[in-house]
Amino acid sequence: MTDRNERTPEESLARAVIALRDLSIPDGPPAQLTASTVEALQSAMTRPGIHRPTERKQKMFRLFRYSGTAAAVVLIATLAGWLFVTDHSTAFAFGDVVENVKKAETVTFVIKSTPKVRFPKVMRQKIYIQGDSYRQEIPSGQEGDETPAGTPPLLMTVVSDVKKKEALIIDYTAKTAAKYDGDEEEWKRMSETMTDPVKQLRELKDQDAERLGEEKLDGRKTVVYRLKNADFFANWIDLKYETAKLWVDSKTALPVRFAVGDPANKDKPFIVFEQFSWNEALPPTLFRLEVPKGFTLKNE
Amino acid sequence: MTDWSLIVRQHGPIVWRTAWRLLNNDADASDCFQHAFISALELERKETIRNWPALLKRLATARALESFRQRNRESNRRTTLAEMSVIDRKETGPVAAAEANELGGHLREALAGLDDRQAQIFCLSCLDGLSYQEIAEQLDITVNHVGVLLNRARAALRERLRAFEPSPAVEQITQEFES
Repeated sequence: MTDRNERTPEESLARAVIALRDLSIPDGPPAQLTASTVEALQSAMTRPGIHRPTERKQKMFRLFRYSGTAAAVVLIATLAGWLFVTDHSTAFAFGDVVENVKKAETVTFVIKSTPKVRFPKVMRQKIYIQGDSYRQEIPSGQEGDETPAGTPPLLMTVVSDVKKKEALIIDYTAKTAAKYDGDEEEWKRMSETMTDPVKQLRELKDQDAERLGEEKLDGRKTVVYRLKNADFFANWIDLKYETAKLWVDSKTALPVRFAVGDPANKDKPFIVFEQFSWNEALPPTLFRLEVPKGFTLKNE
Repeated sequence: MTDWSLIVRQHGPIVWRTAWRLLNNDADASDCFQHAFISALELERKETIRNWPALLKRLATARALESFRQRNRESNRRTTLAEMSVIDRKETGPVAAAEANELGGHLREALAGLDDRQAQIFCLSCLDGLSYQEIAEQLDITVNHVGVLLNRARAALRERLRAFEPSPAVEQITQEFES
């Protein structure tokens, strides 16, 4: 090897170019990224008159990208049994919260995210989970958005059954539905996206979690915890090492709010999971993997 | 009507590689990937695309450079494990691999400080293998102009990379450690 100090500038540049050109790059793009990109492009193509098309497309991409994160929060709560932080001033310990979540049969919640400074508006979606079934609803009108008259209330819905490895993507504007054609690798990847936060939580120690105190949230008393330096979202580099805060209802000992990131940092995503509703009876129709009447299935 | 499914599946790997090489992590590369196709959609509405790979490489490169600059501006940016783990497996031995990794990082840094068009031309020519003619068509400039800007880019990069060279004392210590 040539001594680094003996190299000419041209040689240094050549070596740097070779290093970058021959870099080992992970196989890609991931199937989920390809699918969501195609889906959003096709939706955009069929809706030329939609209000602020570019902005909407970007939002849709983002919303799809963060869908894995949505599911992750529930698993974080469900399987965080390893994190047992005793709370001496309330009637329950953190472990009780975990137990309550484990027993929960259904949960719904809303995700609001401010992904980056160039997308300053809050984006919103609603998640329903019952067993292995999962439903993600993206409303047509995002916060601060005005939608044209006649726009359906929902822009898009994703219904999936993780166990069956089936998913249906419904576009209410184009009145189309598409079966998700992710392969084994893709489902595995999705699963990893969801379980990675759990793996990280398993490795948390008591000193990583801090009880911040009590707080009134929408009129109800909550206990707030801070989970420090947790690598909750390894697949989402933007959120790596961000602080997470969890609000737990003092009466029910169930989570009511979960926030990741720093709202003061405008360059990084800030995601809030809120409006939790636990053990609500959910209509089975929400999770039906059927094409709605009057809709066309694009990929039979 | 453009078959976007075909275009994304056919050219997605090229865009992914272009983005990942400059950004060095999945999340930023995914962001860049999507933006490249959004931009392509907008362009395709205005004009006929004759060379999809070249166009997509150009869009991905521009976007990746922009993202990289933005990332560099974040004062509290931290090196991720993913970034640390990127080692050129074609290099033999851990020291050579680490050096290749370091050199690649230095080149990214140097490119981020370059004039935008020069950086794009350098990446398209030296990393993505586009011909002068293809670059000229993509950027709507003459072939000669491509050559001039590429030379300027190389000169600027040589100078910038010099700043990353270790001092003789550091080099000596490194060699002693390696031996």
